[in-house]
Amino acid sequence: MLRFIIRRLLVILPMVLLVITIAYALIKLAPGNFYATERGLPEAVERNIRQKYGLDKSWYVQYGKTMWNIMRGDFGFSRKYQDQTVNEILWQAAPVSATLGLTAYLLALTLGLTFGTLAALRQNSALDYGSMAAAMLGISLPNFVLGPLLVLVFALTLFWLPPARWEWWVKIGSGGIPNPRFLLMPAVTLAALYTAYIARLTRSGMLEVLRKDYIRTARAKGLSERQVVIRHALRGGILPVVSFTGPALAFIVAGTVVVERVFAIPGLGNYFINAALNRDAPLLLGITAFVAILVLVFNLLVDIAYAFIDPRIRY
Amino acid sequence: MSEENGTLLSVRELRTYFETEDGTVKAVDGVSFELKRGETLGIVGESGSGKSVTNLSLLRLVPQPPGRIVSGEVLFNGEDIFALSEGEMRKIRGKRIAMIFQDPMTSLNPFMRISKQLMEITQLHLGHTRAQAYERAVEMLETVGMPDARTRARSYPHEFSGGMRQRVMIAMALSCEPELLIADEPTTALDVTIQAQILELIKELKRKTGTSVILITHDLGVVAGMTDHIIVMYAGKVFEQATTRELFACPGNPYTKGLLRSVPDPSHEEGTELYQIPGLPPDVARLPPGCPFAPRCERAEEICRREYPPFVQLNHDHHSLCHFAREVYDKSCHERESRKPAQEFTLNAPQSDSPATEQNQ
Ligand SMILES: Nc1ncnc2c1ncn2[C@@H]1O[C@H](COP(=O)(O)OP(=O)(O)O)[C@@H](O)[C@H]1O
Ligand SMILES: [Mg+2]
Repeated sequence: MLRFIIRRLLVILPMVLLVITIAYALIKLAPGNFYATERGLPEAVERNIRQKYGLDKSWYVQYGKTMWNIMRGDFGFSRKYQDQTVNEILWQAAPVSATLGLTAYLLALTLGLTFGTLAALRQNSALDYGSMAAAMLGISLPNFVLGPLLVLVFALTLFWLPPARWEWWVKIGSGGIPNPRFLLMPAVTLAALYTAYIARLTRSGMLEVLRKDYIRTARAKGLSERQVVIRHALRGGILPVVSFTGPALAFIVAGTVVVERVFAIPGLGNYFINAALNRDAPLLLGITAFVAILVLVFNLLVDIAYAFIDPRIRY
Repeated sequence: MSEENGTLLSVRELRTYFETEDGTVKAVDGVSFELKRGETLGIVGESGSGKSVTNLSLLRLVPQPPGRIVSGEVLFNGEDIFALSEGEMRKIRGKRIAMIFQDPMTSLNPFMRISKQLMEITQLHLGHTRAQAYERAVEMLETVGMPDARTRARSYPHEFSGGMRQRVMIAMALSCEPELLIADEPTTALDVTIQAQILELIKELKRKTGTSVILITHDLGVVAGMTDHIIVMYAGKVFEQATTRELFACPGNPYTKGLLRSVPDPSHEEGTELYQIPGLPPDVARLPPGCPFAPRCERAEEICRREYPPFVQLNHDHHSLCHFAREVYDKSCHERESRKPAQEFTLNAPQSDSPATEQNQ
């Protein structure tokens, strides 16, 4: 197990460097640059800028220098927010996105597991059909529609919640405890899709497990239906949900990009869009690297969790 | 009620149906039998004949829906099982009636240590503390012949062979000292040598504890040396019912005769093909009006296809569902007279387990 973890950790570094390289190539190949304006610049000014940022050097010198700095953990200054380093921006924005993403995932996990299990236990009941219909809706309604819809109802019509932005309720470092009034709508918007997925995965997983012979054994022991489900069925039933956690994180990262835009939240997703629009290469690489590491580490954690849940799996 | 040799279990006119897309599957259709305290009853029949559903019905474990116990009465120690509340029923399951299943590979929870799976049942029914339950689990594993029980109790099911898992199942089933043990094809999924060991174990534990046993199997060879009575099932119905000795000696039903012929005979030469009853078990959702076995029966005549057969009493304790029960019975008794030595051998063969098969794996 330990060897497995070490091996996987060793793979993460080259993987991240590969991701950064691909991102680097895409940025270089994209038309436009960070200093261009609509009116155009005098040639001398442009030459000066290119010299200042080392853009006049050959591509492999630029690439080598960038990679060397990144490996030392230094992404440099943002091109757009000139007085901030990329690391400072990550430090500010990551807690916001992490809070939003984690809240959404926990929400999705709680609701999805609950409704998925109940639907499986009362197969073909009104509750089953109701939750699965809601899940279908959650899957087919895109977050950029659901978000504005919620804003329209709860912020602009009922005035219950603020329509946008973010507030730390208690500030600790660059993160803290979020103000739930600002967190609620974005979290729900982001969670909808995963709630739906998890509910459906849980339902089919539980239905499959409840048909297993060992569940019949558990019933024949005289256990109550609740004990049968909680002690014997749940563990096998949620395995599909556990394996989904890895991809789910990737989806959530993608989801935050949209949701943070819709709700004007100063998280990584929002910075990422701005950085792309501004051709802010250092910031783009910084966020890409951060997310890549996050996803890879998370997938490793999922595999470890899997081995803990299922004793038949040994690495 | 608990007098020596009193009736432990009495099943009357049990009917369990399944509602499926193809119509009503009459999986169990009017089954009756009795089991005396300390006795062993064999339930034999081809696969799909309703053996498992009969016994699941006794514990009210038939999946509902699609299953439904339509009618019938089950008295356990004189107590009407179908009149009990769910809570009262749970106090009987696992404690007074325990069940082991066909496939030990899938009948144990793969995510749980076997110690925990064993402890669960005594904690539930006997109010054991964790420590007591653990000691009991180890003791039971030793009883069923698990070597190195204390260390191996902490293993997961996948770390055991099929035979060992079935021993674990037996340990679990017997840990509350049930009055009735139902073993549903306990050896079908196992190798032949392991089969003999498991059967021997059940026989030995039964002798020690005095538990009554229902042994379900599709192989008459398995029950020969184990049971006092046998009921033969086909298409959800009891086709023949007799003491083991009588059934092997003078079968009164063509179906039973077919089953007997398909038992591997140790006196036969290697390589000779085993007899098989021609055709397939019927679709119990749409049975023909006459005898359900008629289409496959060698003895069948016009009347068999037209009229449902009577349940004929052949002897004090011997019944057969057949239009020609008496004839078949007389004929097999007569055949037996003329071939006595060979028949006797078949009857005794499964009892004479050689000591070599008794080793642990
Ligand atoms: N859950 C179920 N749904 C529908 N039909 C079932 C179900 N369980 C058993 N049956 C039907 O009941 C009949 C008897 O099955 P079973 O008692 O398992 O046979 P046996 O144990 O003798 O092999 C079969 O025809 C089977 O198809
Ligand atoms: Mg069966």
